[in-house]
Amino acid sequence: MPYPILDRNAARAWLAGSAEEPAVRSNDRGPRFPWEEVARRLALELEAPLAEVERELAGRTGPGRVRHASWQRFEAEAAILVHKALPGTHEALAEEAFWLWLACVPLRAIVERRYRREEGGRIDPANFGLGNFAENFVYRLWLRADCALDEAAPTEEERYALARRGQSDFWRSHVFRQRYGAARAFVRAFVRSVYPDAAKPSEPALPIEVVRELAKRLRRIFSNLLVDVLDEKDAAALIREEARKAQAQLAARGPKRASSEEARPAGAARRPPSPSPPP
Amino acid sequence: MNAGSTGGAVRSEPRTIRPFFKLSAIEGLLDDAALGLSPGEQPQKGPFLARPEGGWPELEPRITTEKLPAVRDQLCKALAPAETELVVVGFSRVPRESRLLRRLPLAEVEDEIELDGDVVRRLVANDRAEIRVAICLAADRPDAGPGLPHRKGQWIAAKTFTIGRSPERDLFPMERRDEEGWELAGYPRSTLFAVERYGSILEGGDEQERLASLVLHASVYDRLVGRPDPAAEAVKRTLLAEVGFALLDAFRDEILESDAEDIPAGSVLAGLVRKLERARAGKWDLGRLKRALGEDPSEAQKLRAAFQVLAGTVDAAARIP
Repeated sequence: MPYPILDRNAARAWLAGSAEEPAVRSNDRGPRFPWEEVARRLALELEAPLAEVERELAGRTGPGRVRHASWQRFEAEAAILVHKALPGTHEALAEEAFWLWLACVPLRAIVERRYRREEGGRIDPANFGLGNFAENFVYRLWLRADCALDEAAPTEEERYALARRGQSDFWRSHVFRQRYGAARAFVRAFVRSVYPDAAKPSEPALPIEVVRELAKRLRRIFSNLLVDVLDEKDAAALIREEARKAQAQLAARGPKRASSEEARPAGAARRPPSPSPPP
Repeated sequence: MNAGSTGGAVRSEPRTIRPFFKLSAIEGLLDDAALGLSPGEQPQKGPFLARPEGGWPELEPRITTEKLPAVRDQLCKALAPAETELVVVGFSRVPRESRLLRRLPLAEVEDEIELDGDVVRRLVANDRAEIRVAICLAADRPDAGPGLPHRKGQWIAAKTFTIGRSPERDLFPMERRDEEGWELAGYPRSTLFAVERYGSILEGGDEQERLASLVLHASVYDRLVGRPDPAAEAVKRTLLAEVGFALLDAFRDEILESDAEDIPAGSVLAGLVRKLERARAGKWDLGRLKRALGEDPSEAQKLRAAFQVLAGTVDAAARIP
């Protein structure tokens, strides 16, 4: 049965305002699912948590608005809402053009309100997945919840508990961009290790430098080790051992960084000055 | 990156990646493995299997090996007391996930290994998937000693099959865009070119569908592509030089966040660095690249110059009558 898709050129034209309607097509694979209706309901469900953050950020503009800590709460909640709305498995989820449709058409306003720097300002098309697809905001939300989902947990609250943990930059830099981040049990163990306290979901248990060093060590280990053969317990033991080694390695190197580095949340990548975006 | 940074013997991988030198002779034990997806089809050694248009109507995934069953018992004896197993892991690019498809003790491996069709179907729904078969440690071996694997999951021999669209794919395709297209994309109408990023410069060409696109202004595209005259060639070479720099700049964040040990020899970045060295465009190790893309404008100019050398811009210009 058909599901909606939007190709890159059509997405660009629609976002730039040169098309009166988005040129949505459809692909005919997989079982029937009420995509448009579900997407409309999802946009409504996301409205309340989004509006709450917007009230907190009233008057803020620029990068400070986009990177504000209040968004952590929204993204944790939104990830779960997006994941619950979509089917557990469907051919549509394997198609980039489907995610482009979802981000650019029914959830366009959500993406824009999340990433605009000021009222009426331009949104970086990368957040819709134009450029590196993996930066599609809606896909990233869904992926966060899917990676963290504990299918063995008895209640829905517990199944999605880990999706609430971790800062966005942690998920982006140290999970989504890493091959080990594709192994679900490994990711759950990783999230529990770095963010062990459910009451403090955005506070890492390890300093930022240790998390970065740990991620590098895990990346190297992945070259030789199939992390998928590890259950969560094995993965947790491996991660604990590597975290200890990361701390020891950093201690041996001695204090190098200025205190402003330590103030940055764990997982936040060092960002060089960005080249000017196209006007 | 070691080829550039050590000055010594060239390793196939950075020294921290494959330390199991005592088992290097059997790393290729699964090279003859073949993957079959459709019922009745002859399994293929690949390692690339093209995805048919519309996917597979029926799936009966299985892996066959000839060499392994023949040496299985000797191998178990040689590796004892290590517990070993054969595992098959599937990876899908979208949605990004990997799954264990099969695992069995090495002693039980026969010449055909069946995989779960439903799970494989989910993985290959995307246009790029991988299936990896490997012999691994099934348990930790802390007393293994140097040159031997010691952790559960460390692989001794492995083979990866890539399943996706036809290999005619272009890792860095050129696209033509007219003025309206530039405006739609958020650029000025007379933009000459842009590098639009898709994949990762830290992965190999085989591991990704596309690295980036080179988008060229339509009128320039029409006047350069397929034109062999010296003036057109000189312009192309100059453009290529700028594109080289722009490509690294497009992946600046990945490069600035990496360490040398994180960059496999097969990655696009390592390949580019080797090309620069072969073209005598300077020694560009990761540290120098980071300075050029970061805070050092003079290194940035030298990197641009390196790409001019690689593209042969001066020679091409000298041929203009």
